[in-house]
Amino acid sequence: MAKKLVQAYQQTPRRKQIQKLGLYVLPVITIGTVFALYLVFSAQAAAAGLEIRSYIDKKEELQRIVANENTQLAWLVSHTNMSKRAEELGFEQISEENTAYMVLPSYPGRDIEITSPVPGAENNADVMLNSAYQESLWDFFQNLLFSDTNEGEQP
Amino acid sequence: MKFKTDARLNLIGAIATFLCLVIIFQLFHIQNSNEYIALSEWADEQFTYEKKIVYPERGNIYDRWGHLLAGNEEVYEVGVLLQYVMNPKSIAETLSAIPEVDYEAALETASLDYGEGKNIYGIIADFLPGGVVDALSKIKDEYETLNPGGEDPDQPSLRGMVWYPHLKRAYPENTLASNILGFYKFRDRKNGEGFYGVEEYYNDILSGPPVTVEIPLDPYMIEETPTLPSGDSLVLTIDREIQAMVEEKLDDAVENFKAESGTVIVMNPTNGEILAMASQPRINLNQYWVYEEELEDITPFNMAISETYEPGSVFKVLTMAAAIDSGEVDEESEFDIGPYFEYYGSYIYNWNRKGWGKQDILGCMQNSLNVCLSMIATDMGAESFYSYMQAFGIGRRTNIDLGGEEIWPLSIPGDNDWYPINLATNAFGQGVAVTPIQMATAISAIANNGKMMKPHVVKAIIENGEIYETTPQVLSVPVSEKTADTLNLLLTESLEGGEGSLGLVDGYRIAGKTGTAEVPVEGEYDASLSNTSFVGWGPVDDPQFLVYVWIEKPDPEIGYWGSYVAAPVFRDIVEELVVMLDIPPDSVRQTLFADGSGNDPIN
Repeated sequence: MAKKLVQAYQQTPRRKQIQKLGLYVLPVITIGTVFALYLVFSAQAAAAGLEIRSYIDKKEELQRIVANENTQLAWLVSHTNMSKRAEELGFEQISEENTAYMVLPSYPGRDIEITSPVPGAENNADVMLNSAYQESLWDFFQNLLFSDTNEGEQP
Repeated sequence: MKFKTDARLNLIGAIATFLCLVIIFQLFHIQNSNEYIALSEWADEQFTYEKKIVYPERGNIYDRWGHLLAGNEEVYEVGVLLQYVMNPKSIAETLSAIPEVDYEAALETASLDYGEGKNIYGIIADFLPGGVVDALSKIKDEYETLNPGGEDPDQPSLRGMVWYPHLKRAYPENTLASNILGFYKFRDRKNGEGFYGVEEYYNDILSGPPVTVEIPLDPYMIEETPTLPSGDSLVLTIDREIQAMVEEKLDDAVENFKAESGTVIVMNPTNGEILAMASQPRINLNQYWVYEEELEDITPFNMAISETYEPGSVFKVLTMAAAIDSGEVDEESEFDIGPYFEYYGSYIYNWNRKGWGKQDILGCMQNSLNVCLSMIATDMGAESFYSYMQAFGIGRRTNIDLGGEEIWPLSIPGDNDWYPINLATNAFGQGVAVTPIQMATAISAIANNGKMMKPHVVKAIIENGEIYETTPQVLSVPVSEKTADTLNLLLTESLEGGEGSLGLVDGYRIAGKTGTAEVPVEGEYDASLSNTSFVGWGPVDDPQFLVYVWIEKPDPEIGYWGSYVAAPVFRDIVEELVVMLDIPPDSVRQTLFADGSGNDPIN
């Protein structure tokens, strides 16, 4: 009985046609899927690239603003301005006779103080890009299947 | 029926497969066709990269405590995108309200014909502050509201006018330390470079020249975006407050004595750090382009390193150091000082043209006796004398890290311009020309146990946010520690009881020497003109500063001698300097540091 049923199933013309149709459509679907995946990755990579570009532009703008603000601040606290302000506030230049000295054993002494960012401080920060955005689908599968898990490990 | 259905399906499959193969074939065919390759190359060239001139941010310059002496500020370039200009007259009229902009020139630029491969963009004004651009933006918006698109030629329109921000060099302290800083020619944006001072010497470190880079427009090539590092920043050894004080004192002295000019150097003799270096005249570095007008004729940008002069009696410090170190004289040596000393048919006179009888080396220095020093030098012999002078760096560059250092070569036996009398006159600073930095450096050896440190103005370099301190360097060791100690004591006692007493500072033991030199004019000495100098350092037991003062050609009716002109300037400076450097008076220091164990820093 079971054998007859299998035979009947195999011999159903409608099923045979669907199988054939499926065989033709399968590669199309596979290729389409690959293209779709490729498109998604490419679109994401492009979007990321554009975003990075906008960040680079923004960074340059911020560097200009920071440099400008630093200099504007320096104008405000220049020796001439600060002397004038100190005078207006009633401060006087201290003389040697009015100076009291004491030893502070733990005081390391005055040191340089640069509170604002210095040009080039950002030079170390290179573009950080996720490697997923830099590999093709082929690379992805190749890495997935054939990557050496011991790579980089010390013996 | 079944056969027909299968045949149909197979046919459809075959056709679909064939069509796919055709498409694939066509794809390969197109991508390898000459047309595609040419188009691809053209597209790559046109749209893959954008060429751009990049101006790396020039590094900042700070004083030793972090005060900004040279930085960068944002300014704007205003120009026209010719393709979009609707009303050139309107643009020219608006921009001509800016003092630097000429109406005709602006109109000419705004009226240029637009064309591919020809004119696309024209610059009308540059280095405009943000406030001006804000005002322009407001006017542009108003005009755009009144005349949308600029289509009505009778209505004003600023369409096509654009502005781009960029950085320009700025010096927030204006004239302060201008002789040290030098300047960056920021108005020449393509070929700008540093001139004089630190800006020249460290030009390559502060910033490279502008570079043309290719920036990828393809977002997949973002990693190819070139990283152009900003220039390194410099931390100077200069103390802004000390520099300002020294400049003020120098200006007062030059004005009070109606002198031609002057210079002062304040350095730390133990490591060669220049704490202040002031010269006259100084310029506002933000308007550097007027420096040729400000510095008339051959006035150097920084006298301290670029102008040589005959120093006079301050040079006796070196002569005496050489004599003591060579064993020619000691504390017991005595000299019979007549009114003159004859050598090779020439006569050397004391400053008062009188004899001084028996004198020891203290008396010779205390009374600044030319005859005595000439006798000592001639007794030493030319070979020994000049080898010491060379060890002191006379006739050689100190190689201070400032652009524009000059020297006058030292004539030695064998040179065409050397005569035997030179030995006698060089001994007291005549017939030998030096820069103030040479003298300060040479004499600093006496204050630093015989070691002559290389003078420098850069304390540290900041690269990528990391601070790298410079290392002090020993230039030479011209005399022994013992000689330096002897001379220190000699010059301290000499100052306390001699003609340089106006240089004394209450509460501090100072070693020092005055100098007055006649000025050579057209080959002969003009006795009515003098160059007055003073060099001093202290505290003698632990020297932390050395101050060199040169007041050039004071009005002789007001002051002629170094003891009267330069010594008080030294005193005025040191009185404030010791407070700024936190150096307590000797007696206070003795009390503060005496720890009961006999460790007394004073003795």
